Amino acid sequence: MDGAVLTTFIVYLIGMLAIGVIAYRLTSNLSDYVLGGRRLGPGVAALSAGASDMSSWLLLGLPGAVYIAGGMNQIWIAVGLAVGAYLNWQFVAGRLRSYTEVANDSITIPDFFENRFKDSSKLLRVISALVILLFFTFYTSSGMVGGAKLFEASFGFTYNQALWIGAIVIISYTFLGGFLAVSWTDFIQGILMFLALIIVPIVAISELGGWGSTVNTVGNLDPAYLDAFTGMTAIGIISLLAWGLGYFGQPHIISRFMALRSVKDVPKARLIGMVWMVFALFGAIFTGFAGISYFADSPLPDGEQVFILFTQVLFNPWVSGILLAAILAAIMSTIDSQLLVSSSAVAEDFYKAILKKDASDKELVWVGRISVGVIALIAILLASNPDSSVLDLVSYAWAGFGAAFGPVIILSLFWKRMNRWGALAGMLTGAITVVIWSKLGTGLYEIVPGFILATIAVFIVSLVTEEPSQEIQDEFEQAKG
Amino acid sequence: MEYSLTGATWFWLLVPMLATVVLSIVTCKPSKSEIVTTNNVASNSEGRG
Repeated sequence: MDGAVLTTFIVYLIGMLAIGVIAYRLTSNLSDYVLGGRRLGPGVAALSAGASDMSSWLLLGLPGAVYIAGGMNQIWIAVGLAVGAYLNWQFVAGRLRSYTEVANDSITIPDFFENRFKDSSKLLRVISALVILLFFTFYTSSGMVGGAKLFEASFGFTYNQALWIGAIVIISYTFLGGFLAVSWTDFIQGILMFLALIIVPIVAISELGGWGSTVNTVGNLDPAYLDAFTGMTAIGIISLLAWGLGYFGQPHIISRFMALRSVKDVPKARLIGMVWMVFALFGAIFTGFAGISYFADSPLPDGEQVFILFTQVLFNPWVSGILLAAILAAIMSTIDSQLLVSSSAVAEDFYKAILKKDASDKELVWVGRISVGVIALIAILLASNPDSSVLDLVSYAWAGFGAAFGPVIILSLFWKRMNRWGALAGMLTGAITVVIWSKLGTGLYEIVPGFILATIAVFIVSLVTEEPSQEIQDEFEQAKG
Repeated sequence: MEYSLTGATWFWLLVPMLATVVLSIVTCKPSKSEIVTTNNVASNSEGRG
């Protein structure tokens, strides 16, 4: 491995650990540990939400899809994601921030469901926490597999060395600093990802002689690469656009809304978040598109390496090291957020809610920390066999969260008549539909039927069961502000 | 032969995504009522000072 690249990586990893140590000193109770004591400014909240959302898919998967699958017909998923993220910031962020505070200062999504519907049976809390724990353990594990494979291929580590190095750094700063460490590291990682996705395509396209020349080379290879509709069916386009529906139910993303310092910060955070996301998506698309032209004479065996190869051929090793660290940043920023949400499910939704109601703050923070370690260890064990079929579960984790939690969260914020039975029915209908639909092989992304049926289930079941109590309705009005 | 992206591709690539940025900019400005409230607070503070 090049010394400059290695040095850049070591500096980057030490920086992340240092943030964990600083955040450790500022963390004294469970609210601090899982939500940063609700003191995130708009910039950190926005970039942290973006970096947690976008894993290595943004730097490797999307450019790779554009490079391999046919150019501009891959834009639909980016359009769906950008619109979904905007609607999430516009309609969910502020209301959720305010409602979680009104509803007994809820600090996790299961906590919010229980407090929003005054569910003394703990059914909503336990089921939603189990869904989070199950999917995120596999999701985290899958991220670790992706990271380890990437660094095995790029830097000559063995698979297991790469797996443990990455995991130890992520566990260390998440274990120590909790939400503040995760948010601050995500913020820095988000900036790194953004800069990499702006610099790489600009330099690549200028190396190719400019935009016109790049388009001409691609058009000469196949004019179909220049059209967004070629090779796409209506169901294909709808399925790609529907990825945007997933945002409303992703616990690791919407927890950033709950952690904002104030509802008044939402507009600024939304602007920062959308600028970051839209230009990062453009960067990823144009990286793949430039790759079609740049590597026309010697096509890449693995299209997902297009970003990595650009960093190696276009930049000196020091810059290349920083740009490659952006890939590690993308992977780490997603895994750490998922680990933290999972640990909060154990500490807040199982330990405090069921096992030990009078647990002290200090005790709960340590339960959270130990949970980070245990969940990460399970994820590492699962990841130690990268071909395990159990990892296939993540293929519908995005759809699962989107359909199970999305309609329930939106309607719980905007429909006063909704009750806990409706919430439970929506959650189960969304999750079950996603699991069953994914086996049917219809070609339609399972989040579409899952989201629609879950919404219908919430409406019907809420309307045929008892009206929410006056206390719940008063709280709803209070959260509306 | 000169090639370019099709018009529909440019439209779907640029319009929806940039619209989310434009809408974010438009909605980032404080509303009139917020400005009035802020001004009132400012003048009240001056009065007390």
